[in-house]
Amino acid sequence: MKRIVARVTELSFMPLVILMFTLFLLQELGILSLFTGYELCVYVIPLLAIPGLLRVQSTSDHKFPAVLYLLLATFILTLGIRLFPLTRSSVPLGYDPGFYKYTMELYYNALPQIPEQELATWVKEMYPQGLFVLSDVMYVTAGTTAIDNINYVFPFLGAFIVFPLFAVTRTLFGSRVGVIASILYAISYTQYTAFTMLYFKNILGLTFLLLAIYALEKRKDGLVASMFAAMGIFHRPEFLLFTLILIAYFIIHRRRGIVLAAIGTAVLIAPFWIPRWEIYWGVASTTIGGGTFFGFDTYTLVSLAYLPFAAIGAVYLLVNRGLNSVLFYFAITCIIVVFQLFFFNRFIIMLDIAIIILAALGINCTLLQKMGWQRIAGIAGILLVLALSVLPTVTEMNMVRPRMTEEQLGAIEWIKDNAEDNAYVLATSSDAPWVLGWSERRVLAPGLFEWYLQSKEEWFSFIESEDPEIAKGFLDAYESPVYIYYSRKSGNYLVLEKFESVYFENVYDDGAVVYRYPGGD
Amino acid sequence: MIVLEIMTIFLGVLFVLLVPGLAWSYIFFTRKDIDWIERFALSLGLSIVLVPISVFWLNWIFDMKITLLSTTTVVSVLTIIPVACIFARKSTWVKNATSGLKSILSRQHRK
Repeated sequence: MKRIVARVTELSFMPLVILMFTLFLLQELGILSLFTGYELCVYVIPLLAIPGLLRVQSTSDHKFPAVLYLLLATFILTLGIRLFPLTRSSVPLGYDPGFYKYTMELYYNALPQIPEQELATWVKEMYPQGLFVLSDVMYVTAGTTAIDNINYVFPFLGAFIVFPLFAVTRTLFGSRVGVIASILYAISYTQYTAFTMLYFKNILGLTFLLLAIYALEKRKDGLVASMFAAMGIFHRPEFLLFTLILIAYFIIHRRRGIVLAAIGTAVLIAPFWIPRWEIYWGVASTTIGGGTFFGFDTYTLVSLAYLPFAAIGAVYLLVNRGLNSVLFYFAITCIIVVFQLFFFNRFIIMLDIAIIILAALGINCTLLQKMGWQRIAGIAGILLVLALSVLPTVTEMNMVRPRMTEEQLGAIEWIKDNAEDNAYVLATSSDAPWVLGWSERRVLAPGLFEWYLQSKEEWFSFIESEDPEIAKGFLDAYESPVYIYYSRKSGNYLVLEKFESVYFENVYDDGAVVYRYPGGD
Repeated sequence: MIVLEIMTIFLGVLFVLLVPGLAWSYIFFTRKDIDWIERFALSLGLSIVLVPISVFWLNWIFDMKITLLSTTTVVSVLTIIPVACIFARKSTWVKNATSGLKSILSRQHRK
C-alpha cells in the first residue's frame, strides 16, 4: 500500500508542477484570476517530491557541453538588464549614489594619503575602507571616476556574480545545477532590486562570500582567509554571516586549517579595523533594525516560482547528509530573516543566493531526473519556473527610474558652480544624499551627516511651517549663506511658502527650486 | 582621443582588477585543477581583495603614498611574486636544491 501511495505521489508530481505553474503564469499575465492566497498551494510541491527524492542518488555530472555558452549568455543577460536603465538616463539608480560619490571623492581629495582621522563618524560607520581604497587605486591607475564606478563597474560586478555562483554550485552539485543557479540569479527580482538600490558593498560582499564558500569546499585555507578578510574590509554583514558559517562548518568537520584561516583573516584586517574598533563595536552593540529592503512577505511572493524547489534541495541535502557550507549558509540566513534577528531585511539579499543554489539543486533532482516524456515535461516545468521568475524582474526593469531627473540634478550642479565655497545647502532627507554627492558643499538634512544642529522636533516644525520668521530663526544657527534645495518629486515634503519672503531669494527654478538665504536682518 | 581614453581606462581596470588575481590563482590552483570559468571568477575576486589590502598595509606601515607610480609598482609586484613562485616551483635547480636540502635534513635527523 505504502509503495502504491509513493508511486502515485511521484507520478502526480510533474503534472501538478506544470498545471500549477501554468495557472500562476496565466494569473501573473492577467489572463486568469485565481482565488486569494493561491500562492500557498505552491508549498504542496515539496511534499509531493519527497518519494522521488529518496531515489535520487547523485546530482554531480561533469559532462555538460553547452555550459560555457550558457554561462556566457547568462552573464550577458545579467549585464544587459543591469545596463538597460542607463539607456534611459545617465543619472544613477537608487538612494545611495550620492553617499558613494561623496565618500569616493573624499578619498580622491585626500590623495596621496588615505583619510581616516578627518572622516566623519557616519562615514566610518557606513563605509569600511576596502571599496574606497580600491576606487583610489583605480582612479590613479585607470582614471575611473566615482560616476564610472557607479554606472559601469557596479553593473559589471553585479553580472560577474554568475561566475562565482556557478563555481560554488558546480563544485558542490555539478555543472547542470551550476548553470540553473546562474540563470536563476540573472532573473532574480531580489538581486535586481539590490542592484537598482545601488547596494554596491552588498554585491561585492556576496561575491566574496561565494568565493569564500568555494575556497572552503576546495579546502584552500589561504584563499578562505583572503576572501574572509575581503568581507571584513568591504561589507561587514557578509563577514558576520561567514563567521557563523565557519563556526558551524568547524563544529562538523573539525579542520585545523579553518582556525589558521581565521587567524590569517584577523591579521589581514587588523589595520583596517583597529582605528575603527570603537565605532564598529558601538554599531554592533546597539539595536540594529531591519535595514532598507523589502520584507520576507514580499520575498515569498517574488521568489514564488523557485522557493518550493529550494525546500526540495534542502530536503535532498538533509536526506543525503550533505552538511556542506551552503546548507549552513541557508540555515543561518533563514534564521536571521524569519526570526527578524538583526538587519533581517538586508539579509534577504544573501538568503536569496542560498535559496537560488538550493532551488537549482531541487530543480535538478526533480524535473531533470527522468527520461522520455517526463524529461520533456521537466524542461517545460523549468521554462515555466523561469518565466514566472523573470516577469517581476522585467516589469521592474521597465518601471525603474532614477530618483532624480536630469533637471533636478542640474539644479544641484548649479549650486556647485555658483554657490560660495563655504555655503551650506539645506535639503530634505530624500534629496540630501544627492545634494551631498553633487554640490560639493556641506549639507544640512534632518538626522543625516555631521553638520545639522537641531533636534528632530525642530526639524519637523521647520519643514511644516509657513512662517518666514521661523525659517529665518532656524537657519540663523548656521554660518551664512545657506541655500535651500528642494526637488519637486512625489514623496518629497517641504513647505515652500516660508521662503517666499524678503529674507530669501529664489535663485533657480527648473525641475527643482533653489533659494538663497544670505543671513543677517 | 575618446578611444584612447577608453582604452586607457579599460587596460587600467584590467591591470588592477584582473592581472594580480590571475597570477595568484595559479598559486592556489594549478592549470589542470580548474577551468577558465573558475579561474576568471577567482582572478577578479582575488585582485579586488589583494590590491586594497596591500596598498592599505603599505600605507599603514611605511606611510606609502598612493600615486600612479606606487600603485603600479604594488600591482606589478603583486603579479611578479606568484609568477616567481610558480617558476621556482617548476625550476629544476630549485627542485634539486630542495631535494638536496631535504636529504641532508633527513640524514641529520637519522643521526
